[in-house]
Amino acid sequence: MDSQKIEILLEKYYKGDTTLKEESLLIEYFTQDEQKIPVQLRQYQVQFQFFAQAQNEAKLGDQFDKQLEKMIAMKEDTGQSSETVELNKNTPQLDAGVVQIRRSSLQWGIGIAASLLLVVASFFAGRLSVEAPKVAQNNQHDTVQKQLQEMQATLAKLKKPSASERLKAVKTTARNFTDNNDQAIDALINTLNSDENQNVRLAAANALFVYKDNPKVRNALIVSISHQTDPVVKIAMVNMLLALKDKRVKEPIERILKNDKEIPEKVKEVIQNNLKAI
Amino acid sequence: MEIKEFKIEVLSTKNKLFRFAFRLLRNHEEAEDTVQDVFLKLWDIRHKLDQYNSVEALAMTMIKNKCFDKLKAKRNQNVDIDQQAPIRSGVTAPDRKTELRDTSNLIQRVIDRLPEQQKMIIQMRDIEGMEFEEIAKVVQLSINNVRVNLSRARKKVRDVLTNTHNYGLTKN
Repeated sequence: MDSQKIEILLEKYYKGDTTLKEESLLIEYFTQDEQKIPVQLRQYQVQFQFFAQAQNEAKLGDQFDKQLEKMIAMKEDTGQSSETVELNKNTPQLDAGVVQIRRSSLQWGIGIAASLLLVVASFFAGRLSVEAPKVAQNNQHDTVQKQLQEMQATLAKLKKPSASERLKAVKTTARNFTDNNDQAIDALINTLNSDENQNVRLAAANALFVYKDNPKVRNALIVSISHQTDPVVKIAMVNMLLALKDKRVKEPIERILKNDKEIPEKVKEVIQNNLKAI
Repeated sequence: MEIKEFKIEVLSTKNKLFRFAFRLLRNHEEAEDTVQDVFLKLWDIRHKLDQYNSVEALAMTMIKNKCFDKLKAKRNQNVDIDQQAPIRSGVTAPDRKTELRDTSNLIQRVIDRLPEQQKMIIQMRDIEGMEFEEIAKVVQLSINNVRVNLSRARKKVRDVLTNTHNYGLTKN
């Protein structure tokens, strides 16, 4: 492009009258080989060179997307949808507003219903767990004592060095323990999270799943899935979590679907569909 | 709108928004926080985003408002932003490369010291290549006023550059 044209464009540019297209012409012109630019125009070079590269200068950190997704997931979990719309446009759009409000009141309703259910459920659970041992204490105090000792012995075996022995221990524990035996639950959770052998972890997960209605077990299962590395254990646990029908499982499962490359696409699709049903 | 769509339509503007926030705040972490806040808000109103002609202009406006709030809070804490980054002319350039880097630093500082409106406008136009209509929405000025402010900002950048340029020449 000849320099006269450029001079005219420059004049327009400093008046604020250039179009975006003309501006990109200027940038193109001034970022070319310096030798082709007449000396009297070179003083403008740096300004356009600066604009040409300024877009590359400041970038968000790599973690930004992940962090944001996490926060969005957290928001969805707590079900809060703040209705702050800060705009200078005054288009209220009643319809959408009403829909939004209905949605959130529905969410509230479900929330309240769920907490009521929880209160009632925990009341009965509490009564049961108080009454059951009472009966047991009266009638078979000795047997319980003995079983407890046996259990202690099995739990100790969970720490054995060989995987097959630990696997056996998990299975024995699973057969014998009742869901108000905290010690056994803790031991199994511990195994689930930290045992080096995936078969042992899987067995522990299966054992715990039987008592999925125990809130502690439930929490542990949900938390633990994020720690699992083996695809087989992951898929098994995803299925368990889906069976829990608990909203909290969404986030960890979605994360696995997104990040895991070992799980086949077909399986992911099925999981995705099941997830929608929750 | 699901998260996937949201990511494609809204999150793709993230670096533009970030540079805008960074231009106003001059602080990486604060700018990043601001962008995150704005995205979370946009997520909240994702069902209504269709109603806006330009989600980008909306997002930029939200960034602007957030940044102004933060700057106001800072001013109240008696931190003088102008004094944090004094203009230093880059005349001590031993070779061409450092000279270019120095001038680029110099331009940064000139833009940073422009009045808020001019600063935002030159950022949106010359760095991000936005249309005047969109810019006008964000800064709440008429398109004509946007042009006037842009012209002033561009000339100021030019003047500072030609001054240091001449200074270099007279020295030789």
